[in-house]
Amino acid sequence: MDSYNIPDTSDGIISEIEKLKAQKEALEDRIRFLQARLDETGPNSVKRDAFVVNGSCCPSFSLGNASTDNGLTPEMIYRYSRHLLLPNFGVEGQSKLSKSSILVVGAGGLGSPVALYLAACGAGCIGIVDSDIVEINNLHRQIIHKEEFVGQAKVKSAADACCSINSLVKLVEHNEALSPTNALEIVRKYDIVVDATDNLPSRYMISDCCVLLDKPLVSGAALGLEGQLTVYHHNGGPCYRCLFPTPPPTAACQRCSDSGVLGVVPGVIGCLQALEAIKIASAIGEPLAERMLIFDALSSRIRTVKIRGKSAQCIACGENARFTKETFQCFDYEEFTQSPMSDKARPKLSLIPESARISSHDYKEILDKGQPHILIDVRPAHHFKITALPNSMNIPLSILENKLPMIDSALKEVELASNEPACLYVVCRRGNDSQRAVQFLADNGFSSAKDIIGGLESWANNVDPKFPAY
Amino acid sequence: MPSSREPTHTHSQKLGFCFSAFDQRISSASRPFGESELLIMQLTLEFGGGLELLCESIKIHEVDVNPKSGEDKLIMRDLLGWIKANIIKERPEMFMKGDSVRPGVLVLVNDCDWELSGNLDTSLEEKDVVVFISTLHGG
Repeated sequence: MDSYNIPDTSDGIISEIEKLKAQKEALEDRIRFLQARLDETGPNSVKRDAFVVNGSCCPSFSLGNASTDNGLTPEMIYRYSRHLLLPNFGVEGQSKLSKSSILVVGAGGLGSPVALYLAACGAGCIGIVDSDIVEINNLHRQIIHKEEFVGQAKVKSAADACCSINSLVKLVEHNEALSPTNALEIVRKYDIVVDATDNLPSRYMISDCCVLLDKPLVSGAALGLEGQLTVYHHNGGPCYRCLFPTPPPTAACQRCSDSGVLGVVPGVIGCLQALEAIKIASAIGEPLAERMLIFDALSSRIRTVKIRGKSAQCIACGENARFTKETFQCFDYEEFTQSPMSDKARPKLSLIPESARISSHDYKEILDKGQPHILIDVRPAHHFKITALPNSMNIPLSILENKLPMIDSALKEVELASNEPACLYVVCRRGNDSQRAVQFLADNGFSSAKDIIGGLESWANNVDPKFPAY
Repeated sequence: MPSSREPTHTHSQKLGFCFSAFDQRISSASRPFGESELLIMQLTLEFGGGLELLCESIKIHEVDVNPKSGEDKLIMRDLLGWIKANIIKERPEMFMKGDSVRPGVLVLVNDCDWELSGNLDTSLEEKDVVVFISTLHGG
């Protein structure tokens, strides 16, 4: 139970009582308001009226007598006063916002500022979908999560942070990954969807789902030092498939966990996503439909470009669209995009025979026995700077071809010193590039080359727990 | 191929900002001797969303391109071929597929999707800015 701070003077107690009375009044106001809404709509359908979805903002929205009953309690008027003072937003904007429900898919780098701002500004109901747990290497960009939540569900951590900012907002935790089997059921309950995911198949899936359920979609993406933002399926604008009918090749799909991302970049895009969601919910301004905002952090440039409209040929939203809820539920998005629905899933390459591979344990033994060998680390130079095994030689895969003579002379040097044949081992971060390197080396006369299975990740997990993981 | 660095102020006048580290001026290699200078078209090409990695991590290229001999205009179809031959330094399949850009690349001519101006048949004019952006999926 909470322990109360009891003031030690009678004046203090009196003022505390006054404060509590004011809070009680505010709560009673809120109960009255909610009761009135319940009476209006009936107990089984406390459904938020679709007053902004699709931009067909409904001017006949029953605010009743706005001067006396604008749907805002005294508590809300005080809390959101700076919004209410905006002539372009005002009571109407806040009132619509406070009755809107917004689904945030992904509680990561983009979803963090989205959920925080939507909660702070008083969106009526915020749903958060994510199946991940908070990890310490999330915290540099996923600013909604605190250290004390490491190891716990992201949705729980995010909801807790939102609640502590604004207890008036209703938060719904969907502690599961959005998939074709649950998406329709979840998305159906909301007015607006924010795509804050980190992978390509989810982007197609969320767009298709929003088309099927006719919801506007605020889509953001960030990687490295760049970000992109647009609003799909809104005001007659295109959906994701109109813009990208064919998925890109997998090699073109970079991920934050491989390519890196500067923490504040998804922060900037997430803030802008929150802004677009607020604009749609409150029916103000021009949402970013049929336009795309492109952010380049290095050059401090934001450019907004005009993109194509809805495509008549689009299989999801075009004139002869044949994409139904049934097709959606059976559609294999991972197969379609040839990429996994998670930034974490690692493609496990199996390129070379087992005889050309050794485990991290085996390599440890070779080290301990002092067997003559050289170890080539084929990661990019900036990875090598993060951490590396002692005595390893950095030759990035991209320049391996030019460095074959160097490998040859390094091997000869070791053989000369030890008077024994020397082995050639190759390592990388996770054991994929090292296989490509071994294959290339074998094709070029280095038939004894072997790679370390699972790379440095396996070394850290199985041999040396103190080796820095990244 | 002749390639020389231009003073950055010419770019800053044109684009309203200065970005010297990423600028590079490349002239068309195939300009026939004695051809009128008027046929040379100055364009700004920009690569983003990771596509710059295919051209030595240079994002902005100020280039001079001449239309094919016998043609008095330059269309995007020709420009793509020119870019593939002169700007793209590695993995051309990450930029093009067939005679167009690969799926997942947005092409913007003067900040406008090329789907709105005729796709491969979009005519280019002097000082046009052509942007190639690979779509991002991270978050």
